[in-house]
Amino acid sequence: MFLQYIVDVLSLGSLYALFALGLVLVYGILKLVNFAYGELVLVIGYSIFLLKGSPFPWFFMAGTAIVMSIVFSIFTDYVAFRPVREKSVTAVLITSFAFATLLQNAALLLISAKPKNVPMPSFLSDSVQFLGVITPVRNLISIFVTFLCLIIFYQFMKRSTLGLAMRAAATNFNMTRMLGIPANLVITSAFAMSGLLAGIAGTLWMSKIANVFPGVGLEPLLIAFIATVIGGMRSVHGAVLGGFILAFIDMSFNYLLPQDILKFRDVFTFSIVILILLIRPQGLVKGPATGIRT
Amino acid sequence: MKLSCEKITVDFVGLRALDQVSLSVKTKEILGLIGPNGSGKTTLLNTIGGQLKPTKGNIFKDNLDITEFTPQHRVKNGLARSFQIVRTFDSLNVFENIKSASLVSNMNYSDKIKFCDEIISYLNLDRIKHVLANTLNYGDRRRVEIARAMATDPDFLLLDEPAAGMNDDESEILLTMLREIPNKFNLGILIIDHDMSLIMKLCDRLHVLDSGKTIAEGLVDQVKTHPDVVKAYLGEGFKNENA
Repeated sequence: MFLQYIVDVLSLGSLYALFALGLVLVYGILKLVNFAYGELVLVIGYSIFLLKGSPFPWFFMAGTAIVMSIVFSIFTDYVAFRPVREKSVTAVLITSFAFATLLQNAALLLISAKPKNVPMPSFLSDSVQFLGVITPVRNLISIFVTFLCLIIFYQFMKRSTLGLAMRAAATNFNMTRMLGIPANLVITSAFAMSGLLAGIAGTLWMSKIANVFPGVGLEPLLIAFIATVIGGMRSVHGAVLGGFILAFIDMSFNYLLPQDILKFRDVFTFSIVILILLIRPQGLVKGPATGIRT
Repeated sequence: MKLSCEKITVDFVGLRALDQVSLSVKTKEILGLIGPNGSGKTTLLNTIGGQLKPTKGNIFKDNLDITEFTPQHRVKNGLARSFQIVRTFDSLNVFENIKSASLVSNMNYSDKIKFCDEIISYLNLDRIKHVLANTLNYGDRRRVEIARAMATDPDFLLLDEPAAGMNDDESEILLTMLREIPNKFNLGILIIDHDMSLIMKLCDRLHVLDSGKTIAEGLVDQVKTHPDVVKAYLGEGFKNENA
C-alpha cells in the first residue's frame, strides 16, 4: 500500500515537475510568465490526432508532435514576446493570453469542439505488478523519462556554454547582453527547451487522458504555474520540487478523501497551496535570481 | 590592429560631456585614460563599448566603422570591457562565470575550455575556480570580471577602474598581471583608474581629459610633467616638484 502510494506520487510528480521546469525556464530569463505554455499540450494532442491513420509508427508520431511543440514554443516567442518584450509586464501578459486563445479557437474552428481520441500504443496502459504494486506501464515510463530528462537538463545547464549563458542570463540579463552574449539566441534556446520539456510531458500527459479538446491546455498550465509558485519561481530546483510537492498533495487527497468529496479535491489542494504561500510567499526554494527584470 | 576614436562629442542635456576627443590604442599597447572626476573618462569608455551613442564623431576598429554597432556586435568584433561596478553572475561559480562569456568567441569547444583555464591560471583564480561568485571578496570578483571579459577572446580590453576598492597589495598584484596581458594574449588595453601610481607604472601612453576635452597625451613621462595636467589635478598655482 505504501509503495503503491510512493509510485503514484512519483509518477504524477514527475509529470508535474517536467511541466513546471519548462515554464520556469522562460520565466527565469525573461521574468515573464508564458501563459500560452499550456497550449503546447494542445499542439501535442492535435499533432498526434492529425497523424492518426498515417502509416508511420507511433513513436514517429510522438516525435513529430514534440518537434511541433518546440516549433510552437519558439513561435510563441516571436509572436507574443519579442514584439512587446521591452514593454510592460501587462503587455506580455495580454499577448501571451491572446496567443493561447488564438490557438484554442483555431482548434475549435478547424477541428472540433468535441474531444478527439488520441491514439496511444496499447502497451502503455498495460498493468504491471511488482512488490505488491499494480500500476500502468506509462507511470513507470513517466518516472523513468522524467528522471532521464532532469539528468540531461542539469548536465546541459552545468556543462554546456549555452546552458551557462542561460543561467547567466537568468541571474542578470542585462549583463549578459553587455558581455556580448547573444540575447536572442539565449531566449530562443530557452523557448525551444521549454517546448521540448512541455512536449515530452505533454506526450506523457496524453497517454494518461487519451483525449484532446480545445481547452486541454488549461490544466497543465495551472499545474506548472502552481508548482513553480510553491517551489519558488526563481530557481529550476524549486520548480521541480514544487511539481513533486503538488503531486504529493493531490495524491494524498486522492487516498484520504472519501469518494463523494473527491470531486472537490482541488479546493483542498489549493487551500494547502495558500497555506504554503502564507508561510513562504517567495516559494520554498530561494533562487539566485532577483525576480526583478534586468 | 588599432582601435581609434575620431572627434567624439557627447552631449547630455545642457552639458557637453565630451568635446572632440580623439585617441587610438594599438595591439600590445596599454593606454591609460586619466583625468579628474567628471572629466568624461567613463563616458568615453561607454561610447567605445557601445553603451552610449556619441552625438558626433566615429569609432573605428582598423578600418571598420563601429560607431553604430550594438555592444553585443562590438564584442563579436573584438571589444570587451569590464565595468566600474562589479557585476559577476552570482549564482555561477568562477569557472562558469568565465566560461559563459566564451560563448561569444569563435573557438571550438575544447579550445574554449583550454583558453578559459589559461586565463584562470594566469589571473591566479585556480584556487577559487569552483567557488560561487557571490561568496568572493571584492578583489577576487574584480579579477573574475577581467577574466570574463578576456574569455570573449578580444582584440581590445576596456577596463574601467579595475583596481577600485582593492588594497595596495591587491593593486600591486593586479598591476603585474595586467602588465603582461597585452603581450601574452595579443591584445590592446584601454584602462581608466584613479590610482596614479598604478597607472604610471602600467601604461605605455596616457591620455588626459579635463571637462570633456583632451588636455594632454603622450608617453607617461611627458604627460606627468605637462603643466595643464598638473593644473587639472592639483589646481592653479601649484609648484610642480618634478619640473
